[in-house]
Amino acid sequence: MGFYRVGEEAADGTGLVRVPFMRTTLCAGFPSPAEDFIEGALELPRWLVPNPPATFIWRVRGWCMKGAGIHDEDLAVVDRSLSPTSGAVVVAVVNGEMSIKRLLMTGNRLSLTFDNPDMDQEFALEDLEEGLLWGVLLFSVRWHHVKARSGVAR
Amino acid sequence: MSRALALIDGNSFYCSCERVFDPKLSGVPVIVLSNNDGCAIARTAEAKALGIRMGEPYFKIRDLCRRQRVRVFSSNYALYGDMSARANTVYRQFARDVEVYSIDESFLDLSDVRERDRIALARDLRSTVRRWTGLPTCVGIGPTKTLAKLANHIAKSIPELGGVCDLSDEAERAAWMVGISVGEVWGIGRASLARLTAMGVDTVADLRDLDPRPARASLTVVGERIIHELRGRSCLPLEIVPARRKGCAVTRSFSTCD
Repeated sequence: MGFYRVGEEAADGTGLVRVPFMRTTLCAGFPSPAEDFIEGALELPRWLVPNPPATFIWRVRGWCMKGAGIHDEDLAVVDRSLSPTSGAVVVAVVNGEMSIKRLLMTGNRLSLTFDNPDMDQEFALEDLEEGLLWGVLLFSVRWHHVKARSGVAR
Repeated sequence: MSRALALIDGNSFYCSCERVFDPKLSGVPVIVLSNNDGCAIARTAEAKALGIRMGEPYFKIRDLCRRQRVRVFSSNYALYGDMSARANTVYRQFARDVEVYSIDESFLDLSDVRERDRIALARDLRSTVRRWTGLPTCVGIGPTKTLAKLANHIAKSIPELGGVCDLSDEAERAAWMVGISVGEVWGIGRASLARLTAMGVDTVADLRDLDPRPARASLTVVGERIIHELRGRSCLPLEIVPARRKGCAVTRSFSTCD
């Protein structure tokens, strides 16, 4: 597993921010076997990462966010400092697993949903403050050329 | 404006780094082992409550860990270094001068913050670090490094303080000092503790009231400096620190070759 430092130093010197991949995967529908994670970090331009110390990258497993354009094996760039809004794609704890879901605020009611027409399940989210909401998705990265993806591992 | 330093450090730092990424680790005992899985070097409150001591060899607690379902991790310094860099990036947004003292402790210069605003700033810092990085921290504030360290110790041990303690006020400082054992003072190791006990010095207040010059004979110049620092006279500037002795341990580990 490779973790790299993020922070102002990297951003100042090269204009790039190294954001490490998390070793575990985000569950997007299925339990997440963590065995074959990509090792390494993404070097992102500073303007794509407004808040480096709060930015983390997770690898997505599963298809439950297909409707949001997030596929199995994509990378989810997550900013923990963003305020969640209704409709935002968030990383949250569901049944003790870190997962990626869409957050819905209907009046006072908070819920998390899949975004896939083939799956239809809603999860109640008790409290945003209880650490169950981990972060908000900033953007995702997909390699359309699968072979090229293995080249980013460092 | 009075000089103020803050010491911020991570609670059970290595364990907390592991917890950020795995929700199953919250509320359960977690320990992190040293290189080669020799000794427990980080313990969550739940693990401490089971009687697991700092530096305890793993082979001695392996059965206990299995019985009590303690989650045991090998150390992952790449992860801890990354999380430490993130935390320090946040600290630098709250204070111009930051000294990264160790992987989980930093001193911040808060001298240019008005005295009555310092606690609020420390609370804001703590909650920002928690929200952005997931790491729980405690903050101690005082006019010297030794007092900031002592304030941090108080913030850690008294849950009602909400993780922040400011010892800028001399009267309040004095009140705390009579109730804290001298062994909690930064830089008082086992050897000096034995000498101090023999001299009848039991509390932090006793140490502060020693005459610094004669104390040098038994406590060396380091001890003399500690007394000055406890009195609010700063002897340790922000960047320049003595060689770190705390946390230095000689341990042996054995493994089987097969």
